[in-house]
Amino acid sequence: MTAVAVEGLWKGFYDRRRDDVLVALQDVSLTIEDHEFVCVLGPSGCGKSTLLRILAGLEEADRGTTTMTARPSVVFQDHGVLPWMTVEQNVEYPLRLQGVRRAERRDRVAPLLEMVGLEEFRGFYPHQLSGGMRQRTSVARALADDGSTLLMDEPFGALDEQTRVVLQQELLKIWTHTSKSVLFITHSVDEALVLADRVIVMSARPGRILADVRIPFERPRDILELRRDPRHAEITYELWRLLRDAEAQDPRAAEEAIA
Amino acid sequence: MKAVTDDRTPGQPSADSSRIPADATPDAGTPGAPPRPAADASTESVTRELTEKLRRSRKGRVVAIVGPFTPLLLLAVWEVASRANLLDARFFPPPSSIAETFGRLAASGELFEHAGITLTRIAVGFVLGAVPGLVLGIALGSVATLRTLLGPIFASLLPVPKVAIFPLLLLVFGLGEASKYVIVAIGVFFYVFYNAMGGVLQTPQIYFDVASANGAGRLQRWRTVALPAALPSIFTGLKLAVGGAFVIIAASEFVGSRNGLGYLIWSSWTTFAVAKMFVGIVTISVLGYLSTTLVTLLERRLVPWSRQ
Repeated sequence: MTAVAVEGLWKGFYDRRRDDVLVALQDVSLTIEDHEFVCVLGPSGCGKSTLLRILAGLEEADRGTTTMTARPSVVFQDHGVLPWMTVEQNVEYPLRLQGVRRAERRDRVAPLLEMVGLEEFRGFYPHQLSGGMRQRTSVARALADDGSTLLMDEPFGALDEQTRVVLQQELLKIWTHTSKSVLFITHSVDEALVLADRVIVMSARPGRILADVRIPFERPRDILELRRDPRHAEITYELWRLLRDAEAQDPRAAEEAIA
Repeated sequence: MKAVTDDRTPGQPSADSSRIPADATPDAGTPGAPPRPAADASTESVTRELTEKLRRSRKGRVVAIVGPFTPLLLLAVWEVASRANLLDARFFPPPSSIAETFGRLAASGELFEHAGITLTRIAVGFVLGAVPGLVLGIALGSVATLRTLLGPIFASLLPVPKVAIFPLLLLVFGLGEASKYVIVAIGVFFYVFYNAMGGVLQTPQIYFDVASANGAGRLQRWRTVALPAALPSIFTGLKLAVGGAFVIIAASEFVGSRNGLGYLIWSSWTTFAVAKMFVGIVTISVLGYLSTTLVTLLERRLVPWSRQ
């Protein structure tokens, strides 16, 4: 079954000062199957976040269609945790919006808090937590929302290397135990190779899809062993080459890179 | 660095172990350094020591206790200055004689009658102003179209001195209580309205995105994001509004009333009862102070996430 289908998506932003339209997405088409983990890889400003915002219903496309089986659950880049709610209230937020009763909310949220290792911190406010804990709260909230598709916008981008690796492993564990499809946005080739079944490479503005690369490593993946695999170096090279060529082809992006 | 590591043996007295944080860092970075000897007993005692120390040294405790009483110091200075004739006692009678008058007015019940009337006017006017201020502030803060259309109306009404329209209110609402409620409400409204709207406008977009992405409708977005995000700012507005309300009601009672603390002050002036006048002034300032404190306490209850 196809979980997400995007067909011929265009999105432009009007720049009033320069009287110019900035094309963020140009004819983007992709599909994600059930229980598939897809990473979208691209340089910053390539419109990958715009793609996610359209899928999340936060932005409207100018052309093209998106089809999804149900409303997706979203994990935002940073600060996606509401400061006036405790960890527990944040995690049960989607359930509260759905009108689920308090007792049932507590019951459903408890195992999630345990899963992300935050049960002791359930009564804490976000400003009392570390960045990693906040992002785990955010992941737990998306799991409480329990959409069949998980949209993640560089969720671990602002974290330190160690925390990032730990959370990547936790995410993979959670994903293995559920039947969710994941669209995961990143600018890190390494991260994409650890996580994805497929990597979709996007060009700098205007954002187009350059390639759709299948990642052949078997699961569960060991982050150290992965690097010893000869295919790892090959795919890494291939992805970097795609990103570099995309930059070179686009005169505007190249200009900006120099500036 | 090696020498430092070797120095530390399990039998070290706990006084020395308190230095651990200072010189432990270089060790941790040395690859292959021998693991630090586990000093279970001393670790425990240091932890206990630290806990005790942190518990005892709650910074600013003394300042926090003394703070509310500093107005008393001002009174003491006044008393001395008035008795020593540094202040003209005809205009600034010593606080002790004001207290005497206070006692007399309180005993006769006159003071409580005036204070009760003024407080009722403030309370009713406050609710009448704060509730629409809150609702409209959040609505205009959240909906750009409303803000563009209605914003200029409020902006043009804001600079009108509230006391200046009191005669008009007397014409419309008569000499009764309604005109007092309305003038307090108008003053309170603007404080709450502008602070609520500002609070919503300052809320990072991401929080609204989180709500929308989790399926929140417009009203749910207001209740779960706009309102709580604006609460700290709304409380700033409420505190300013309390002060403003007392100013407005006092001025209104000077001219348009036969009771209330403002009337007490004004009528004392006409009879040159200076001590009585001060009783009115002090009562108003004490009530204003208590009301602001009440709002601050409420804020601590309702805004537990803000770092204070």
